[in-house]
Amino acid sequence: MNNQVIMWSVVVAVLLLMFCFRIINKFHNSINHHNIIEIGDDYSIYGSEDDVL
Amino acid sequence: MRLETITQYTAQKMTFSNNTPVDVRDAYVFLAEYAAWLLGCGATCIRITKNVTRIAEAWNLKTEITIMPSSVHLSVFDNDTKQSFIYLKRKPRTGISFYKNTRLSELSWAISDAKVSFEEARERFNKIITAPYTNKWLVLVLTSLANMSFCRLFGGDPMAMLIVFVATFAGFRLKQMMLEDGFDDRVVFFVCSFFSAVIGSAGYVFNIGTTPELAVGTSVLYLVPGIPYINSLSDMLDGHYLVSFSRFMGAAMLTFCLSCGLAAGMLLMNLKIF
Repeated sequence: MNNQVIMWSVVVAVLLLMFCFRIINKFHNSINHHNIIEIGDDYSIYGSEDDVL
Repeated sequence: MRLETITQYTAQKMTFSNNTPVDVRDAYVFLAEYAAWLLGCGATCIRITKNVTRIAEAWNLKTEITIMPSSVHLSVFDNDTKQSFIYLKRKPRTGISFYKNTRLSELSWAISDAKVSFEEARERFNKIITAPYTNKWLVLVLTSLANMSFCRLFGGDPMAMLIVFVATFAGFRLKQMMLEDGFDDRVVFFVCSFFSAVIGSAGYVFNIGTTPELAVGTSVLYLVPGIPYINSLSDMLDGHYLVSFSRFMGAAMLTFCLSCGLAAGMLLMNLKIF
């Protein structure tokens, strides 16, 4: 495998990783947002922490 | 300004087609906002001037408009109070939109033909400026297809067209994501052109197709800021040199970033096209 193929693969892999992180981040945010609505105003600030714990 | 002068000015009313009296100041604020939105969504200076003048004439308002690169100044002289006012409105941060541009122009004609009252005009204006953007996935697919067609126009073979489609799809999606996240335009253009150029070089790397150089060349064409260049020329012909120069420099800066990204991609892939 020559250098060109390796570099091309690395760049494409980085791009795909960026897309994946974006999707995961969006999914994670949507879950947190859902919890905030369910928990209510008084505890909304702890919504994301509860999710992680 | 003395209080009684303000009161006198405020009391000034005008009457439109439906015989509803309207405060003149509201009409001027509307005009300033209207002009700023036209500027924001990519209208040329001649269009902004014509549309604003059309509305002002329909409402019997006397006004002068000065268009600056990032704001609109509307000067008003009131014969009764001998006072002049300047309404200054900054250009809103909105992308170029043909939809808003067209609808705002239609609104000016509707006002000119006395088809809408002031309140209706303001309602329609609010509806236009808050209209949702075209579906981003549709735009993504159409842009990729359009760029693929460019490759064909320049003589690319089916494999080069396929590579350009994928490169554009990935690059444009990245552009959408980065703009949503609030990255600087110049950074976005550099990064997107870099990734598109690298993906576009697949023809060279894997020996696919007979026109790999066209795939690399056309994979970044979707980033060329064509509308600002055209508007810049139009403004220059109309004598709005300041706005024209501003638009030209903005577009040239983006083109420079695009070129840097393309060059970086080609250097990384060690392409010896030239």
